[in-house]
Amino acid sequence: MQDNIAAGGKQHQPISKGADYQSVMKRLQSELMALMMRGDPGVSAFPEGDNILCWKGTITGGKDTVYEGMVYKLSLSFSTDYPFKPPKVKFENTCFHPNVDLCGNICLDILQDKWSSAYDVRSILLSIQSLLGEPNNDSPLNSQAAALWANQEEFKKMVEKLYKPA
Amino acid sequence: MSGGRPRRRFGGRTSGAEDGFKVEPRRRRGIRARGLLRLRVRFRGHFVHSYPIYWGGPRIFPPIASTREIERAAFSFLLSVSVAIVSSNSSPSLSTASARLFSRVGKGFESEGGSMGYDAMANNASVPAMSRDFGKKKKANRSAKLKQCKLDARREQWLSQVKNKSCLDGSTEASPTATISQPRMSLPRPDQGVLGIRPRNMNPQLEMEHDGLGLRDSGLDSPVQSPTPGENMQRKVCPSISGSSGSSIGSCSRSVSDEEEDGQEEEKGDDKGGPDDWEAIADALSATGNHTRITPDAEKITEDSMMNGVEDTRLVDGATKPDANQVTRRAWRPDDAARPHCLPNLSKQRSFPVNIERRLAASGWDPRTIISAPSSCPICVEDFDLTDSSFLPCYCGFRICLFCHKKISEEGDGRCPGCRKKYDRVACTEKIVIAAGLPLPFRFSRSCSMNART
Repeated sequence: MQDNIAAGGKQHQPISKGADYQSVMKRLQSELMALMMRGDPGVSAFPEGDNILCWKGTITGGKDTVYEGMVYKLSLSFSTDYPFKPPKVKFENTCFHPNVDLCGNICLDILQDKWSSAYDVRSILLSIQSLLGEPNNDSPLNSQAAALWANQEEFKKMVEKLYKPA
Repeated sequence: MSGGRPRRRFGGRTSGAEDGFKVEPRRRRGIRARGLLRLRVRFRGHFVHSYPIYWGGPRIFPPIASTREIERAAFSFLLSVSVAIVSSNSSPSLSTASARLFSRVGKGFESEGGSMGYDAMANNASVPAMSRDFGKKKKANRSAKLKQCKLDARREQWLSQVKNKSCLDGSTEASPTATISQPRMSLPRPDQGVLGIRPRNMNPQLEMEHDGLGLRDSGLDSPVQSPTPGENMQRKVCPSISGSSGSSIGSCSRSVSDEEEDGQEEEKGDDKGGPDDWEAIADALSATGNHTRITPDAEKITEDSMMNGVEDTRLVDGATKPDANQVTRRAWRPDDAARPHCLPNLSKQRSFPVNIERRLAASGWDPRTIISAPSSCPICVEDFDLTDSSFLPCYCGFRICLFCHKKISEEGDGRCPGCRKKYDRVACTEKIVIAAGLPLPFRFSRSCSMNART
């Protein structure tokens, strides 16, 4: 009897969220399609497993930056409010960067208050890629990195030391 | 369907459900459903894309270019597979679906034609009518109204018969007696009734009934005013119609019209004949028809029994020959030359391909158009409907659909996703009006189609 009630409750929940989920899924599918078609150099992303709300992305460091040749993995998790709310984006492997903390959290305005529903996965990844080369040292999450940024050679050594290919 | 061949072709990848492409048909549902079938494409278990399928075949769009090797291979494969799937798997359901659609539309037109025919007949001064026939007409109208359902049944029956005939001997269609002023296929019907139905019917009584019907039908075609408005109208406005509906209605209405006048009028139709080649027809008919003539009462009974019998064969035929069905029961197309003016303009059908094209532009084949394409909402990727496309929420020109606009202004920050400016609630309605004047050519064509629809 209890099982029945529990099952009923469980069933009810997804139905009310179904419409949201469908629209998010549709949007993410079209983004995935666009991403695969376009094949931007240096960024890629694909859903992880069966859940289309969790994506894994990769970014290669921009040319002529200290991150050149590095490949960073990111996880993107979308809520059912997407694209009205930004996805949660984290670095999977440690990235020594003024705006990325040691847990991989990213301080980027478009992932917070400057989010617009016109952004998509591709623009997020490209923004993060450009953030790597042009950090915002005024509001650092990693103050050590912010302080070291002036010395690019030292910074590059630090980046390479901490870099762990995922 | 997405079985071994795909995976092998795909090569290199490990096996497993999530590694291949799957293509599956899907019908769109919900508020925005457009009655389109779509193919959904899965890649590694995720829906990558869905293809719209136009009625009658797939539309697969521009060549796909992808930089990474795996995707290139995957998509080129995908194209070939989806084409194969569409042609081998989905087309039966498509053809039956479209056949159903056609038959439905056709019925709508025929019944409408029947009701409108009253006016058409009242204004029809070109056909010489005898005073006696006016009274008969009135009577016939009444009885035709009363027995509309029976009419429908009989028409169906005739449709099936004509279908059989056209399968068996299409050569008789070019009968020498056919003229422009008369529906061509209805003339040879009596002969065809004998020739064509014979192999299909086991029951000799049924066969005889068909002969009788054919004769009666031809009697109707004579200049003696035809009793049914429906038939009259079909005659007048659509001489090139396949002949099945018009004459079938005629025969039906004939059978339900006043029985006491039947014998009299039949004699008249046969004896007097018509001014032109109707004499020849009457001669030909009397040869086949005289021996099958029976008394009205007996005929009534046997007609009923026959209706049941033929109804069954019709069902069987409909199930086994959807194509033939589709051919003979075709509805008027908007571009038919002889299409009656009084029929409503179904611009919906005409706008099907337009929708498809818009859908294509929006469906992301060119990724650069995803954001800028005006035909789908960049936020929810749903196609714009008429209201959406005339809705300009922000002066920056960034268009979104009404759903997303509502969501952003009620639950979100109320800013335009394109320029981050606050949406102006009061000005929204004004902007709609302004927007109506902005993209002039586009808007113009749309309002035209709307007018045509009403």
